[in-house]
Amino acid sequence: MGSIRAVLVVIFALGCVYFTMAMPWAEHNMTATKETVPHTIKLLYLTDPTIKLFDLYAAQKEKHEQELKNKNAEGNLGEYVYALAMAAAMTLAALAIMVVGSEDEVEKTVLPSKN
Amino acid sequence: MQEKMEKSNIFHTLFLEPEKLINKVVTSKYNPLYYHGALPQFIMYVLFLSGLLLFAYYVPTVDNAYFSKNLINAFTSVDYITNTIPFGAVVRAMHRYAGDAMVIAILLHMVRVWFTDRFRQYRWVQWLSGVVLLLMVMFIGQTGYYLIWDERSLLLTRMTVSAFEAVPVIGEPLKHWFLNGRNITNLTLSNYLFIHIGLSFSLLFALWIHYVRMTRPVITPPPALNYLLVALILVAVYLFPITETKMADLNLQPTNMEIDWFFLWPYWVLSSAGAGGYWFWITVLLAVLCLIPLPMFYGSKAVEAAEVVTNKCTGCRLCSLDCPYQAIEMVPAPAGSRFKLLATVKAYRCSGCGVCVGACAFDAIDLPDLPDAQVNLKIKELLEAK
Repeated sequence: MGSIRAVLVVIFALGCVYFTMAMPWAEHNMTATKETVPHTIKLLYLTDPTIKLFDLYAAQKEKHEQELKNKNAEGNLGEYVYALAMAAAMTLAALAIMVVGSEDEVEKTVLPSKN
Repeated sequence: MQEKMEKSNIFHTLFLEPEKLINKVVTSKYNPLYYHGALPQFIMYVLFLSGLLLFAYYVPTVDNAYFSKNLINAFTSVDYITNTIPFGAVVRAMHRYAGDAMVIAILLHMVRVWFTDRFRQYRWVQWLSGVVLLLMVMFIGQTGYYLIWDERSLLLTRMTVSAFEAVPVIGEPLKHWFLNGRNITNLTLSNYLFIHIGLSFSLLFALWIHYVRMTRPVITPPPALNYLLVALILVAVYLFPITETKMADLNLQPTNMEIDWFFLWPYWVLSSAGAGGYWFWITVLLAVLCLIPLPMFYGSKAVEAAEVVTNKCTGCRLCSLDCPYQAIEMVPAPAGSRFKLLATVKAYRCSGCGVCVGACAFDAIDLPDLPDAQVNLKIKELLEAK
């Protein structure tokens, strides 16, 4: 894999992790605390960086809430933000897979040759 | 000829140019335009899964019991799903927008198949089964809107009844079948739910007919494309969240509704043209779709089927494996042959495409009046033409 491709994959993968971590925050209606950090993160001793990430996401809370309220959204507003974070994570994961997988691209039209 | 050129030019602008652009960005392996037939099938799985979660909490009754406080009916169960069940609103919205995405994907598939003439000859079955599938998807989507049992559901139900009543002779039985009785009752919503779910599973049977004549149908897009598709649906969930509606009241007559243009456009036709005009336009549309694969309408010439040169055929099965129309059958070779199998052409299935000529490594199959050398030359010319 070329170095540019490798860099792209790392960027997409890191972006994917960033938005994946926004999902537990959004799930708790955008008010996640140390207690609500997922158990797996605690096992990996990543609680503090996760809390820092939660603080980053929290800056977006009002914007999301306002937008959804303007649209008269029903249900838990955080769950819609969860959907958005999941969409972003999936998009970046898909792009990373595409960068890796596009190396295996095969020509679809193969002309038969006879001797 | 001029018409053909125009069709080809439009196809070039509509599909080939975007295709080229997408290929440059994500390569042909991940170009969604190459999976136009497979995408609706993946969306169907998203719909099945999200629908299953909704079905677990849905109560198909219209009972409004004077709007008592602890009422349980279709509307309140949908409300419960939206407001109380974790991610209920998201799952509900996903179910709705996946339906819209399915209609878009099917229309893209249909238009592309038409432009590339893949409805001709032996593929009339795929075209007609595709039309049936589209109708089924439309009706399933519409019944989904009835199930919510808000004011729009009531209006849609009454409009459908008025359309059925306008049908001569069978109008009354149709209305009776639709409402599951003479009036709107709890049985009506049971019927809607049965149609919505029953017809959804019937899609699998219709899909089998759609695929049965295809040699290697592409039915699964690459996972990365599936992720992107789900991501698009999730973005739609955020951008167009579920909003509050009012419970249907049988004593009232709602007159306005929000229209989902993917599924509910027939109701726009119905309100604009009246019941008579509605059936006229729907019949015209269906007739046009069904007549497209008739040879007389696309100016087909009689096809000369491929011919096997029996003394050259080694029974290797390459032609049979490559034929897109399942027109080549391998039969036991005649007595005295050095080989076990012999290729035979089913003339009624052959479209004279020449794929078998290219597949055969032994020059053992030819198109009449078109030797394989000429076939290869033609293919080369087409590929090199810019």
